[in-house]
Amino acid sequence: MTDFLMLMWKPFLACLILTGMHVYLGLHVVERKVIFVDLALAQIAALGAVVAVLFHHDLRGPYGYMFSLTATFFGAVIFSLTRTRRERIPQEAVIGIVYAVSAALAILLLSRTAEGDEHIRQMLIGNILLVTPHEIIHMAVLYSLLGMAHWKFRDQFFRISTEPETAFQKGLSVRKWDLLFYVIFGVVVTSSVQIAGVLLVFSFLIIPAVAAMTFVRTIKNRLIFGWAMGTFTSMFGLMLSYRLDLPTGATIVCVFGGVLVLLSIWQTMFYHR
Amino acid sequence: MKRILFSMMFTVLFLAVPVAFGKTGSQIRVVATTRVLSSLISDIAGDLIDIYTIAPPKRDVHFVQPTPKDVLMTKKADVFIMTGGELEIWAGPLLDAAGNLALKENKKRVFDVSRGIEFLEIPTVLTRAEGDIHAFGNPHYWTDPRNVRIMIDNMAEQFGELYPEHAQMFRQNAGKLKTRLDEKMKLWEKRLMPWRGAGIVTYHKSWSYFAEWFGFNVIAEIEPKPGIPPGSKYLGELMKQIKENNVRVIIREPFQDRSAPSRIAQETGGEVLTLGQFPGAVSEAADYIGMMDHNVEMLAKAFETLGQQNNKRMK
Repeated sequence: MTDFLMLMWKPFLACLILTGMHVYLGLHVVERKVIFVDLALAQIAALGAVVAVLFHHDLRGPYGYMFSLTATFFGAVIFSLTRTRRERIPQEAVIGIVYAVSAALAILLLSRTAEGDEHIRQMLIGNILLVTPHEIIHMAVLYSLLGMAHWKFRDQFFRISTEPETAFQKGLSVRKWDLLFYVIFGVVVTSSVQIAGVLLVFSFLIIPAVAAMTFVRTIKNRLIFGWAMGTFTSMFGLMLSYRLDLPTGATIVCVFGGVLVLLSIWQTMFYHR
Repeated sequence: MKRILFSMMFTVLFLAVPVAFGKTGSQIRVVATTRVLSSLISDIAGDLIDIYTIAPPKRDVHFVQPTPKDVLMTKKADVFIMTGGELEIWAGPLLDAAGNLALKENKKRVFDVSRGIEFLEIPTVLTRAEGDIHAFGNPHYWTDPRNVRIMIDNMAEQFGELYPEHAQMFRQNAGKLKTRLDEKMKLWEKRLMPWRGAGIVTYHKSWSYFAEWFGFNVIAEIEPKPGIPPGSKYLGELMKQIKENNVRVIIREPFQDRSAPSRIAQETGGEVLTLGQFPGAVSEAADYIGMMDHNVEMLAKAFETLGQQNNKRMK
């Protein structure tokens, strides 16, 4: 037991922070029907890192991070510009295109650099098991600040996510708020993916939000449900990974999937809203 | 909802039952990153050590994802042995996560065996800016058995310093291992002598030291950059070079793509060989010497049969 605690307290703390931020953002993302936007933004961030390597900067250093963030900012601009009031093209299509093109562009640029591919692949994999206290503190501080911004402007953010039509009618600058939303989201995803990897970040974002939306209605209840589910699932996943010596991130993702299936079965059998 | 949460908590508690790891007692706990290192150190230190290896031999050593057990074993290790030369880019984060005080206090306990090795392919421009890109050169140095002699000496010396009471025994075992290796080296060199100077193609730039020792000539790699698939122009150029230099042998490792090498081999009349860089990569190879036996034999056989085919074609 002590071995387990010594080994897992850092990953568990990281999971708690990820749960806190991503379950909340996940509610927005699912409402907006932009499910894969985090994959696209993570890929754009990786592309930014590749550019940093082209300019001979250290991938893990401050410049690599700055290049990634700058790239995500451009991604945010693209996503906020392509959301129009009368939607002719589904935004998922734009997201898919951005993902594919930025991934391909990264391959093209990489073919012009010296060996460095290993490190860039590492950017998208991440290993939550090896998270450092420094990374945890960085994440905690950054996400608290961004979380506070979201809390301060919660009316605007939720309006543009859940009922964009009334937001337009009320004269809210939807494009401006969209940009802000995607910039914050991009910063979060870029930082999380480096620590936990795309798969785990995606699961923290989408699965608790989806589960919460099937069970409860108000935002407050959905948040509580999602946070509880995220916490228990990561705890369970960490233990399973420890017991069976499995890769930690992938184990948590699978546990998330399993819990969602169990919840759905339980819901269809016993639960009547 | 309460019922769900309750059952979740129950399962979590059930799983928290402690897990027992490894043997305890007076043995020195050694964690090695690769099977090459654990093979050598086991021969040198014998029963004095309890060895645990991290990288599975059939996988790409660059992309190891440490598991909870890897971290735990590193946490409890007395000595951590690594290849160095930035082969194991995951070792730093692993050591950080393990937070092993014994390893932190005595730098000798984190043991990079590459001391005194002459690295090949060191980048000519060494700026801080390119810091993370194999600045030390090609890290696959153990494929040259002459470098393995240096590794053995390093291991015996460093373990002797850490455990002076056994230094004598480490030196003796190291000597025996080197004698065995020297004899084998003569056999391997003799076996491959007829094809000294032959051109070969490898999948990844990981056989440079091997080729340097035997006097093979690595004409080209199948991937222009690690992880980057060959483009059409590159592939055309590669085929041309293979035909011009009459290359018959293409070497790949178990985890590398089989389809591109096979297609090239078919078109150029060559053969794809799957060789191992780590004991256990191919089932015949139990330790370092067994692995090299296998690689040498595979190469010799391929050259023999391909040579006969060529003669037939000539007639």
